[in-house]
Amino acid sequence: MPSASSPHRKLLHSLVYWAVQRCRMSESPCRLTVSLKGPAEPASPSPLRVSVSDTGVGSKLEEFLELDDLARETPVEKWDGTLLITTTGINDEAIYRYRFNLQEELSSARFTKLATTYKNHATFSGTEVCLCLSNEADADDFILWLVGFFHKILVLRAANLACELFVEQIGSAESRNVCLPQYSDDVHHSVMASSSDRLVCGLKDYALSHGNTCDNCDTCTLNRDLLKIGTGAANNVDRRKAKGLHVEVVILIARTASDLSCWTVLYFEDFVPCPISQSSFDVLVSIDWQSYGFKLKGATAMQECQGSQQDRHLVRKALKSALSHLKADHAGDFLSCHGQRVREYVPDLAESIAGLILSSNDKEFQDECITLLGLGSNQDVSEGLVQSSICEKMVRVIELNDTKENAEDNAPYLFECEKLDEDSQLDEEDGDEDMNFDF
Amino acid sequence: MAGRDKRRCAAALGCDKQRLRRRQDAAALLLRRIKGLVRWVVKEVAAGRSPSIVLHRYRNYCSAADAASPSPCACSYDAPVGTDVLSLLHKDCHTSRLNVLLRVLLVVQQLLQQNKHCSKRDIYYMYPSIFVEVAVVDRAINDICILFKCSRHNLNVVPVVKGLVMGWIRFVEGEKKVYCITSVNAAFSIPVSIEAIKDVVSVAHYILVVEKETVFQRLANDKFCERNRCIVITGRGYPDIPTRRFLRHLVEQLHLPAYCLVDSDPYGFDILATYKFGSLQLAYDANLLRVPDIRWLGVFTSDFEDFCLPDCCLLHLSPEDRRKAESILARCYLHKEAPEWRSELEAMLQKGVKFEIEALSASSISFLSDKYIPQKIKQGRHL
Repeated sequence: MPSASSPHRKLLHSLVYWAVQRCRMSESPCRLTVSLKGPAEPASPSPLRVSVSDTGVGSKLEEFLELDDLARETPVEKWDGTLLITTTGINDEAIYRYRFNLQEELSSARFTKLATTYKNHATFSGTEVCLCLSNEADADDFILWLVGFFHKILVLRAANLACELFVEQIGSAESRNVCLPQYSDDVHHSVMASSSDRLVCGLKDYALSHGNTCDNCDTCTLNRDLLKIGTGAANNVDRRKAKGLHVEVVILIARTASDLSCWTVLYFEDFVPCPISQSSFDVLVSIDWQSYGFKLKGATAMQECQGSQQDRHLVRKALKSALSHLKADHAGDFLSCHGQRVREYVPDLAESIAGLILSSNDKEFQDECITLLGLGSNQDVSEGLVQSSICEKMVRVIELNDTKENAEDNAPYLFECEKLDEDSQLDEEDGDEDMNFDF
Repeated sequence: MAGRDKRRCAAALGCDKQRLRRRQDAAALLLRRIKGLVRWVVKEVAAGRSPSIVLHRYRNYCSAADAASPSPCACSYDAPVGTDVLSLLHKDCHTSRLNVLLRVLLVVQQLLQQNKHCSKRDIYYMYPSIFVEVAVVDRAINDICILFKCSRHNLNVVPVVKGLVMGWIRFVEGEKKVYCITSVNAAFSIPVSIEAIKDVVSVAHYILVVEKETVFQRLANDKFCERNRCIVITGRGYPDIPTRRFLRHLVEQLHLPAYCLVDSDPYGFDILATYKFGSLQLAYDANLLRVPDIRWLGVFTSDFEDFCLPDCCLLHLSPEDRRKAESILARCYLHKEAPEWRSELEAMLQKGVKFEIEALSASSISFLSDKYIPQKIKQGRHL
């Protein structure tokens, strides 16, 4: 298996990341296109030609200098360090072309300005970065990764951003093409929709298209309505920090045919899929999953990103809020492990209480209890009906109180025999308080 | 003469009626309480709240006492030391307890309504999948007693009796005449329920409680009661509720001193303590079951030398015996109510030896009944 942090992936990740940021800065509808052309035969001497283009704001070129380190640690045979950049800003009169050679030691030779094309008063902006990568034995894996990466970008349904991926593999025998245009599904995701609503929509498509590539989830549900969603968000309200942080969490639960359920965490920063940061991963592991009816059997981070200074608190807050939302919308399905254990006693409890009511030789008492249950005293009530009514009510009590806070709130109503005696003494003629003892 | 008999008969009949009425009243009160609980549970559930039942926790002793500085503790025969809340919301073990409690209550309600009795084992076999084991039913019965402030016999749940009695006593148990007095050396079963006992007559001077049936049989064989005006009782090991209630009833009715004879080992001591202080399991009822004035007749560690018993009868305390003795020594009631008993147990632990009552028969088979018991009682050598 190729390393998750192979130079090809890192490079593409960076190029796409900046393209997305340029699009976001433009604040108007933009297009991001990644196209890859290469030979179909593995280890063919022809290179993979990659182009990453966007219609966002023009590039100031500074971001590409950040690739210096990557270029230095990448062998020349994998990537020669050359980037061909074409860019223009909205107010520019021309389209500028540059060649960067990041492998070049001499700084004067690293940067070359190429021929400029004038726009003739046309108003547009955009950037295209072209480069050649070596076609290695693991080129197919790289392409698979790129397709997956694009799928994830599409999950976000970022406002004002349309994404396209074209992969063309040309061979002597056959050609393979992958075309991944922006989804146009039945759900409206207008510009006005919130980012989390769009994420919900994208995540549903992702789940329905078997995008969850986890081994155990081979039979994702095909029914959109059966997907259960929980959303949560948290904002950094600390005004001293220059950069505000906004965390949104969407949890999507799809029932699988097998009970073996598996979670895949898609993690995004600045609208680009990223390896999960260590701090966020720690938050995921440390959440009290049992309170939401989940059992965390184990967690593996595919890649760990150390650089991110995430605010643990925010991630935790957003995640908990999403879980609470999920639970509130689907009370019975996400009962805590404690709640599930307690719920198992309900049928027996209901049978005992129904038995105590119906086996009593006090008709008045029976009628009173049946009325309390809302079953109406006049009709002939069967034991099964009383039992199921109690069962239903008890399950509701458990579901409604399935959080620590609620359970504590419910504490004041307690049964004590003293209270009963106070009541029962009213209808007793003489106080026979001590006769239940030794007689 | 006939007139007097008639009057006595009428009085007895009146007494029986009164007794019956009291029993019916008690059952009716309990049924009312059960209905009160059920009504409340239904009300809570219908209102969307969890039924939460407060159960007091009783403890007649704790092990917090330190030999050097016996600290004051909250243990009491009358007042609870804490509470448990059985509900749908907190610990699931408490929900399970609530589940069992209500199911046992269902059986109890039927027993009381039909004026029938059954044993806890009978109850267990009605719903074995819910109860899992008899001990669970036992605990639920305790919980119900605590909740409704009553004793086990009020619930019409009857125990299996294992205790025996012989000696100078006669009484009527329900319709049956138990005339031990006509055959003082014969063993009779202790009655299941003291509620059924009436017309207790005795000419005994004291009650002797022995730990083991073998000793009881030894005394019967030696015709101990023929030569000593007494009543002999055995609980055959740890005494059950009927044995303890019967002993307590006799002590109260006949105003007789009670002496207890147990092995000189930690288990014998624990049995002795159960008679005097009650058990932890039935702590809520200990005050009605215990015999606080019972005297410890023996056998003491010092008896071994005093009565020149052969060395072969002396055994060393096992590590388990030591642990048991140490845990008993820590019980607060020994500090508070029986410091002499505690010193005697401490002496046993220090010497590290134990021996059984039967060791007294090593030199002479009837030594126990001929010499040991009469001598000790006569000389007042008891604690």
